[in-house]
Order: sequence, then structure tokens, then C-alpha cells
Amino acid sequence: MAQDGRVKLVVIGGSAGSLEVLLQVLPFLRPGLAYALVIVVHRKSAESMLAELLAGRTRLPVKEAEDKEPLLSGTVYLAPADYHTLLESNGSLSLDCSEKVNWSRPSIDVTFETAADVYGETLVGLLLSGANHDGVVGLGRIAANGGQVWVQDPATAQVAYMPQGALNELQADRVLRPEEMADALNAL
Amino acid sequence: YYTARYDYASFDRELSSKMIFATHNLVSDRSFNEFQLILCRNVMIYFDRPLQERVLQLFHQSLEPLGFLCLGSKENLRFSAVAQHFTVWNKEKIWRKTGA
Repeated sequence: MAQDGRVKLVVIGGSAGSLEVLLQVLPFLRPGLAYALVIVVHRKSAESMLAELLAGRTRLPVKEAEDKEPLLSGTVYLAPADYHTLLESNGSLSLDCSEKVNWSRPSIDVTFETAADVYGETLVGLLLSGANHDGVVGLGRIAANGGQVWVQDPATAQVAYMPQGALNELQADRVLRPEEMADALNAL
Repeated sequence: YYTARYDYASFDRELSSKMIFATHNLVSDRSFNEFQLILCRNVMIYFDRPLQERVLQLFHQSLEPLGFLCLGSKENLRFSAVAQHFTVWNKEKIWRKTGA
């Protein structure tokens, strides 16, 4: 799977308290990243202006994922409300409208697991603040398939449950404070 | 037009008596009518691109000029060969077939 070993995709998942982290990290991401970024945050409804809000904080293009959209490097894709976002083996995203997973749609696990299956060692998964377990199993799959597992330092999380849950179950490659995340992402 | 109780709504008999429910296979069947409105929301996301293309062609053939096609909120026909026959109606993923 990893011909040259470089990272091709970073998937970031979060729930309560994760938006604040993203708003803190995005402004410092350098344009021209060699990988695509897919962000899955638990969101309430389709009326939200989340993509616009994030787009205003970064020079990287930010868009809501559309079905069958091919991933471009240096671009941030946001999982739309009320759809699961999956990674396909041909380098595109696909959407799914079936039942919630971990009471969530979009579910972080769904994105992380499909990403792990396709991107293997060329993948980094980052799990942020949140109040439920969604994303922990997915992070485990990323680890099992040779990808890197990053977790927000629970001490810095508005709601530590999600990142702490991940650290209870698996060995993270990095435990990061929000102020460290941009540098870590820029260095990939 | 309808009665609503609890979590259900029931259309007035005057309207429901005029409705025909039939099974149609988007994968294999051909067009059987020209409609003024086709709603197909969150079905195409489960099809790969070639099949999506086939289905969109089918819808194009099944719509009268100036008819409307409604897809799911995250679906679109922008990348399809039929896109030239439609104009965007609004941001709700409603397209109108051109009159030509």
C-alpha cells in the first residue's frame, strides 16, 4: 500500500469541543500540503454554516464532501451533516445515508475504518475532544492497518471522554495539545 | 390535503386514490413515461459513477421539457453528461430540464 511511505490522507474526528480546536489549528496549516484532510465532526443539522466558518480560517480550500468527489491534496473536506462519509479505493469520497453508528451520522468510525482499509500506512488519524465513543474503534483499525494514531491530549480537551477513551484502548503515536497540532500536520 | 396524527400523515382519499405505486428497476428498466417532477433522493449515492450516469440518462428521458429533477442534498448531476440539459433551480439540489 505505501509505495513511497508518505502520508496521503489525514482524517480528523471530533465531537463536543472539537470545533474550537479546529478553529485554533486551521489558520496555521500551510498551503500546499501533500495530503488531503477529511474532517468529521458530529453536527446537528444541514443548516449549519460549518464549512464557511472553517473556510474563513484557512488559506486551504475547505468544502463539504460531495458524493464520489475525488480527493485533492492540500484540500480540506468536511463530512456533511446527516451523511456518513466513506473513503473509496479509487481515491474518492462517497456518502451514505443509512442508520446512525454510535448514535451519530456522520460517524467518525465509519470514516476512520474505510480510510484505514484504503490508505493503510499512508494514513494519519487524529481524534479530538468529544463526549462519546465514536472514533475509538476506527482509530484502532487505523493502527491495525499501519497508519499513525494521534490523539488530542485529554487534559486539553473540553470534553476528555473521547480522547481518553482512545488512550485507554490503544497506544497513540502522538498525544498532542492543540497548539502542537499545526506543526505536526505541517511536518507530514 | 392530509390528516396528521402522532407521527403519521395520511393523504386525503381524493388524492391517494389517484396515486399508482409500482416497482421500477433503475438499473435495468427503460423509461416508461414523461413526468413533470422526479424525486430521487439519497439513492444515487449507493451507485458507482457509471450506474449514476445511466440513471441520470433515464431520468433525462423520463422528464418533459421544463420538468424538475430533485436529488439528495449532497448529490449532484454536475459531472454528468446530462448536465447540459438542465439548469440549477436553487441550492436545494433541484434542477430544471431546459425547454429546448
